[in-house]
Amino acid sequence: MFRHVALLLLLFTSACAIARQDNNEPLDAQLVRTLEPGKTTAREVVEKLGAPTEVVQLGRRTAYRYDASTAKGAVLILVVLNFGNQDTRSDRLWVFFDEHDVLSHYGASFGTHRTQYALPWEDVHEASDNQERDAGRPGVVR
Amino acid sequence: MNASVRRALSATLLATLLGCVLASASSCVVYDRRRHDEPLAPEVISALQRGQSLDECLRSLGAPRQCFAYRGDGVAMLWAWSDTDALSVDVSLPLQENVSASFDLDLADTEAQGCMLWFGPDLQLERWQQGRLGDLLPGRSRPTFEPASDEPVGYGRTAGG
Repeated sequence: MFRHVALLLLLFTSACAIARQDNNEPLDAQLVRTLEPGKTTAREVVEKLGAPTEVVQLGRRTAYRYDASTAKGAVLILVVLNFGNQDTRSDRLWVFFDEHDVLSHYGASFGTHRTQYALPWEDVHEASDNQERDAGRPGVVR
Repeated sequence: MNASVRRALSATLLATLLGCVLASASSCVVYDRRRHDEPLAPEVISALQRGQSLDECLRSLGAPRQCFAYRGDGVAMLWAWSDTDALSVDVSLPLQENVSASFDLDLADTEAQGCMLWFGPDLQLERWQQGRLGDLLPGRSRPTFEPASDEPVGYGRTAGG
């Protein structure tokens, strides 16, 4: 009798939960692609993308960092045995300016759309998954 | 009885024993995994070459996590990612009335990995290193003020190199 009650209790008390946390708006990949090294100025970059998250002085050069991140968490609660997983990815853009504040280089990574709700044993970095998600976000694939 | 059968039997016995202990006690096992950003592909890192331009590296590696000043006008860039897991076992076993024993085990692997690239003042790749984040990052210290002879303002102490 006790075993049946315990089993029923286990069945009814098991649960799962998901959570999501976004930090900043994802970067507009199409807008980032409009930046032209040798032409675009720091003022134009700020007008297009807003205030950067960080400004770094690199000798006579400067670099601005823009970023956003998305974290997706999933929890499976089986009372005695519990599993949790969190997958966090970022959009990141670094723009480098010369001493005249003209864009010299930029590097961009877009990952927020690849974030997945998953359990710990699942692979969240599969190339096929990434390709599928990239196809749905304009400007990510050059 | 050969060795593999013996091993399988011992594993089964151990699992049964553990199951019995967990079932008779108040216990909780938690496995938690946290992944932050995607690791750089090994083939991309192995394709790096001394003298490569900053532009080529940014195109193949994407945006770094952090940039640091290096040798005046040079730059050191860090790409970082992590895949950490933690297993915790919490067992509380009643022994007698008003007497119980509890056991709490936490195993966590929390090493973040990264790859650091150093570019000279001409923005050509000088060197790179992959490994644990703690080994790649410069020691934490307050930036020092270093006024350059031909500049009215000073720049922070170079990192990395």
